[in-house]
Amino acid sequence: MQLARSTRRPTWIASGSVGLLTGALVFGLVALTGIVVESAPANAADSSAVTLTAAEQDHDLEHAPFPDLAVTVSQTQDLVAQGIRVSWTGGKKSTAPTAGSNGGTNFLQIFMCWGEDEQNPGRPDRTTCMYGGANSPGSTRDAYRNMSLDAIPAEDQAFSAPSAVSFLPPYTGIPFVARDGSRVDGVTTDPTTGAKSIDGTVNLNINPYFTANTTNEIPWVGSGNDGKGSVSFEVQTASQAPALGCGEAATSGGVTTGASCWLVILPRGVSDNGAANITQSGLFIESWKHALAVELDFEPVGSRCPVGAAERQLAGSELAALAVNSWQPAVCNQEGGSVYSLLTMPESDAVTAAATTVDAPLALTSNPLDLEGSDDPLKYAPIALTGVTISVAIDRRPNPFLELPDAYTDAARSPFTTVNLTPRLLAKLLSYSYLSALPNGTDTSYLDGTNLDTITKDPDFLAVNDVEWAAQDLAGPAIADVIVPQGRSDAARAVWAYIAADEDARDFMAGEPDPWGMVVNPYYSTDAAKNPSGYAFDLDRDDFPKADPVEATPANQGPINLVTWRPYANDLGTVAYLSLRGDGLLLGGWDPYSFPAKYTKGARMLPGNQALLGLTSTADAARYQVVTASLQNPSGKFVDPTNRSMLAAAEAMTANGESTTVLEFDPESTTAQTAGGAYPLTLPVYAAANPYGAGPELRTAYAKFIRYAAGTDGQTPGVETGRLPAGYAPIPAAWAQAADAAADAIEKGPVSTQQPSTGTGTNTGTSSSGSPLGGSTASSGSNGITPTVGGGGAAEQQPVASGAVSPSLNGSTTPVDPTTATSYVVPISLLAGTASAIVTLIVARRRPIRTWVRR
Amino acid sequence: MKSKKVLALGAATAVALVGAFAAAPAYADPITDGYSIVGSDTLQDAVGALANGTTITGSSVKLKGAGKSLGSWDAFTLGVSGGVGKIQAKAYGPVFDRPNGSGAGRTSLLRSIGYSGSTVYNGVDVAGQVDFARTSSKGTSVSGGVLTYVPFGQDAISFISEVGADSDGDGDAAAAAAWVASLTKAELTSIYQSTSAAPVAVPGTDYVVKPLGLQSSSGTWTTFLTKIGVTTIGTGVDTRSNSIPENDGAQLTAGANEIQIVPVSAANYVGQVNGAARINTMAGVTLGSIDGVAPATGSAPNLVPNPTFYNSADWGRTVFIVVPTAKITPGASFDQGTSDLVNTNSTVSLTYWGTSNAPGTSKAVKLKFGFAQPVDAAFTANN
Repeated sequence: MQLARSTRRPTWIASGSVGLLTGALVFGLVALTGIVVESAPANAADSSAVTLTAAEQDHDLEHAPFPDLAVTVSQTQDLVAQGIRVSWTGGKKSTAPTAGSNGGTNFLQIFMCWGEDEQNPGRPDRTTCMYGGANSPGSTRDAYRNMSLDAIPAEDQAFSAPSAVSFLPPYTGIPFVARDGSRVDGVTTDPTTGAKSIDGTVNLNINPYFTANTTNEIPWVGSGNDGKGSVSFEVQTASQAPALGCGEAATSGGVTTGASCWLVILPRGVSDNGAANITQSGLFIESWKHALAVELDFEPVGSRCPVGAAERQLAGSELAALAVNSWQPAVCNQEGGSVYSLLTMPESDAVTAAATTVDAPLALTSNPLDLEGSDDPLKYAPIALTGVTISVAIDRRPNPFLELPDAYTDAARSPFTTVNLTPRLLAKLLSYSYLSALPNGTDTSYLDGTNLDTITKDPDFLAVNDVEWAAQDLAGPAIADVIVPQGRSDAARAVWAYIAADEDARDFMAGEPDPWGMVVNPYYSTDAAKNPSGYAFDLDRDDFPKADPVEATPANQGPINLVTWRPYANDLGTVAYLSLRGDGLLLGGWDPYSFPAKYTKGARMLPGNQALLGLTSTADAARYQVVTASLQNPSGKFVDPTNRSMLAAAEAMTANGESTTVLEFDPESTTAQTAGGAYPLTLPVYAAANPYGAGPELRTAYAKFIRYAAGTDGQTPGVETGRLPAGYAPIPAAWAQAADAAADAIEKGPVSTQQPSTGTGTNTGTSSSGSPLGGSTASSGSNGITPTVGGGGAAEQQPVASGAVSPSLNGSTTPVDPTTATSYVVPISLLAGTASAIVTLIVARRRPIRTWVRR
Repeated sequence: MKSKKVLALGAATAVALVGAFAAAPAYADPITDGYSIVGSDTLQDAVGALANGTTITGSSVKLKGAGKSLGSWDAFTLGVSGGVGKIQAKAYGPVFDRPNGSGAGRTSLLRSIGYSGSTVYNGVDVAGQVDFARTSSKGTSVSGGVLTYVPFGQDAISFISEVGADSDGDGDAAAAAAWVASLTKAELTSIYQSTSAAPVAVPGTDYVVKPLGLQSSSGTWTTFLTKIGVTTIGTGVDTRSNSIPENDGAQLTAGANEIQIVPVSAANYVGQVNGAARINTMAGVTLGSIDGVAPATGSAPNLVPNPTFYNSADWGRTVFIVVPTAKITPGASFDQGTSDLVNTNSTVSLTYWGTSNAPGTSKAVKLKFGFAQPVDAAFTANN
């Protein structure tokens, strides 16, 4: 792949007052003439992938651990704090590290550096690399050498010193220099004699700049038997790693750019730097000289919200969290903008608070308010189209006792990238019906069917998945259940609804054996007669209970119950992160010598040896670049969560319960059952506020947020600040109109909100005088040109709960209606010309990736 | 832990008897006015022989530090609940909990030198009581650490197996024995993930494999699990209520048509079958090859480590003698005897691996005990 410079996104315009002023002036011009200038969608993620090869970069190829190594980095420009995918071919079959002993064999190390090597332009300087934080053998900044002092290579001599004990080996420690010039050195030089000695007071690996808890370095990632592999790498900006300062904003001529950094992929073979195993630092010259590196370009970072801006609270759905994170710095920089902070909490609590308390936070929810016997005073604005997904981190482990095709054995340790799940399989996972989901030592005879240990051995699973799965010997509790977040959420409600809507899954939950004889864990049976608790398990719920009261007490050890054995994760985002790390939340060994004695936490599973399933959001899965399962939709097709499949689901959505404005993908509706391309766990997220329950200032702030979120900027996919992150599909145009209408209604408050029974749209007149920001909002009314139809009226024309296809939501627009958030798209699109000129200059200045030493 | 250990009679014994009456320690251990070493059981037979004196190489080898004796305390004793009990390391010294492994040995050494301001080990002030620790696991390397790890030798982890009776007389015991004598890493992983309902069957026979698990604080056990990539063992693994000691072939009690396997320190196995160790529990059990590489070659009493296996990143591990850095560094705390005992240039130090192969060197003794030339360098650490 080559760098595709031409599509590089325009450089970010500084957020200072100059930028805002320009925006406001342009807005006025364009809003009056009604021109909408389409700005090209930024899609930097696709355009800046780079492939590095050892053949091009390694000047000592004949000694390279993997001469054929070719590494592809999924994105190298416009980076923010995010995950990128690093994949490669030409490696060798890896051996995992042994904790505390050696770093393994034939693996890659991946990390970031900030500075260029002055001696070798086009290469990073190893003293500027965030490396060593893992502080395990083979991945430290320093080491005692397996050689005498004079045998240490010249390049390492400057950083080396003899041991104070005559019969002990010398020491080399690569210093770390931060971007601000401060540094930490492991070797001191006597200013008078020039003699070098080890500075025992300095620990290069636990230093003021980074530690094991903060570093993003990957100390070991292995290749499959075929020498291929891939891994997600967490890119850190100056916010997470100040010492590297990647993306630190620098303004020159009114254009703010982010400081660049380097990504280094360091191959490690079987032995290097004089040690028989990989126990020495990869920064030592013998291994460092084989490093592959690429320059990374960053979006400028920094708190771009104005100091002293009012803070507004959002509360509810975690599903919208990543989008809100992205929108927030853009929204707060609008004129009079506020800082919006999201408190994730059960959506049902958030909407109840929004409906019943004064000046409540703006609720983000997927389901409407459900208060028995009272009207719903909330206005719902659709702001996101996203979904719930099952994250999959399962690496191939061909059964060693079977005769298998070479293709299968060669693929050992490489991850599966497609998994199909049916509602019944999901029900099995969530009901702890596989034996390994229950603590070792449990008498599992109450699961009196043909229940197996894990999902990957279940014939029900094998029937809907590739035949290669049947050749695997996978085990472990983390593929006998799915890691779920604690607490209540609309996401959980959607998952149970998906299960309840499927006849096979419903029968299974009721206690009917599946065709292969597997039965549900009786504590989850929806048949009260079969449930030992005496009560039916209710599928109409918004949590993931650990209902089985099992407790096993191995001899000489402590008791293990279901929560000890299979703990909850904090939230959906954590689950995706656990999937990325291969942390199955497994229970470790019993430590009788700790006081009090306890179970330790199980080690995470290294890449190549992972087997876990998690329940997360599509946005978190995209952020951490984890594999997601394809789910069987009501039409019987297996669909993975993509923008296309989520939009297909949006089209098939029908009214949610009694609500006239809130939609849902109801698997039992006829539209859902005929939508072949629809992803079944697609969820809309609405911002909801009570126009009667908040002061004008707050209502305006909420409206402002909604208009941005549902507007063109907020719904344009992209990795930059203010755009729609991956894992969210842009909302349909009709939703954007509905959002705009709801925003108007919220902003106008009780004075201008009419009874919905008119159904013809409402002349809103001039906007509420309470808004101090009229000129910068998208309300055309406030521009004093034409009284517009819309407001609450548009929302009221959304479909009623008919179960039929939702009608188009365009009834209330007029030619002078503002298109969605016109005011925000215009300044950027007009400025695009200027910006692209700047980009051209920058591109011309950029250096191609050069080989270390030109030959 | 191996049973029925007989204390090798050495110069420290006389003092030991005095100590036994004076403070009633758990067992007849040495009490020394010289140096004391505690910790890992993997090294204890070899270090014990070097400390107490041995003629296993045909030449007499007994290590001293500047003329003073070295007393080596095993990690476990018999006849005491849990095999731990208490020890009295030095004459007139306090009685404290026996450090029963690598980590405990290093902790007691750190307390002995008062690192981090405390000299209390399990409730007893042990200041100055411990001079060295044996360890099969490594601390976190840091320059200027208070402890220096000096390589003692190279060990490796493998497994031992026992094939049960061929009860149905169909003559497949030999085939089962041949199969289990050499397994792949992937097969070991499958075996240790297998369930009681579906044990691994030996192909072509009616034998099944019964994997045993060591007691949970064993370094050999945790390292073995790391190496085969198993985090949660299968329900088919029998830990006998978390009570199986390391390096004890007598724990294998295969039933009819059953093969039992358990991880083992290869050096310890070699030391036992060569007759170097005080007892041999390995009668009737077989040391397994992994991925086609045998841990040791030759036959007892001249079994020798296979460098390919011992030096592999997969199965090899360097084991160390740990010593306070200050005592070997020129300066106020320097102690000649401590330094002598770990001086890698001295043929009669615990850590000699130089060029001499003479029977009077500690290297020759360690080879008999199944240890090989270490691959890791010395380093310092604070844990």
